[in-house]
Amino acid sequence: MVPGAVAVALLVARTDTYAVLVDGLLAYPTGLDFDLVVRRRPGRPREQFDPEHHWDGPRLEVRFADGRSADNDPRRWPDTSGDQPPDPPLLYQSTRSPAGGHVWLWGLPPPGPLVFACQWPAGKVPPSQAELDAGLVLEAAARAQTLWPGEAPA
Amino acid sequence: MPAWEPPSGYRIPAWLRPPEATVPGIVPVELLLARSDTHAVLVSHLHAYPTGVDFVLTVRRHPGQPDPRRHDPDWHFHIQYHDLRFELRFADGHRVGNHPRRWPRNFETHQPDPPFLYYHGAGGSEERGWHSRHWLWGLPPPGPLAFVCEWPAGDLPASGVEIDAGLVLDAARRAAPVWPTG
Repeated sequence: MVPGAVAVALLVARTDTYAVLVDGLLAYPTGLDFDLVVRRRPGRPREQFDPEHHWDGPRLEVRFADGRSADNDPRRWPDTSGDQPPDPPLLYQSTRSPAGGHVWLWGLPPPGPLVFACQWPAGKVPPSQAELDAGLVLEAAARAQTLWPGEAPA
Repeated sequence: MPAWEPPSGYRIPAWLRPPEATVPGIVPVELLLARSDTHAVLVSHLHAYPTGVDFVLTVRRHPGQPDPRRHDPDWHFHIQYHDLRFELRFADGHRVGNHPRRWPRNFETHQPDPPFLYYHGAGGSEERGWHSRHWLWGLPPPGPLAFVCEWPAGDLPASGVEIDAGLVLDAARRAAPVWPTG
């Protein structure tokens, strides 16, 4: 599909050293694709993370206006080995690096505020959040187009 | 093994990357440059900054087509860095393309005159398509801005999409510093 672009970049958290952004929001009929971006302030030294652990990046949670939520903690992801798709919403982060990662939100939000909340203890980033009008996502999803006849929605 | 770290104090030159300490302005378009029965070429993630535009060029294969990596494991590398020709055309007549031969010999240490198009990363998957990330150093002038691609080996003739560069300039004005000074 050709997705619909959501014309917003969100600054979700900021400390003197780090900023966490959500950008590259691309909407499909079945969900929302975006980048979780970590920026380090120019000139600031890197935090010394525990090398015995994988990159411990920001924990991100999306909260819908109807009270449902999902986060990028792999321990909360359902078993997807079966034939049945998981109940939305599901927040699947497919890549993780010091610069952030790529995230897929399975399931579109209902109308109302869509909240992106993050916290990152390893980076000393306290709980912070930003929100956007889910209508922007739904409008973008409605603009998505199939590339070829018979193509799956996303 | 620890991850490679650049030398202390090293900063990637501004003409090779978008500014790190800026929240970009998003250009609200997705561009389908070309489509055949087997492949499609798109431009997405148009992020505008005061100094230029970052975007992603993606090649998608029709789901019904056989995976070309069975015969050529480096297929995606070839298409991203060699076979697929991409060009931006500006209203003032300037053009920039994705072929490294067009880069000045000393571009890594000496600031080139804008416009300058540089790719700075690639990857992807069969599901999402194979993409390469590009940084256009220098904003386009007002007027039409054309994104054109050509892939002779893939039977895609030269084709493209034109947008109003004003969309990019407006988005660049919406960009904001992450850490305000003062």
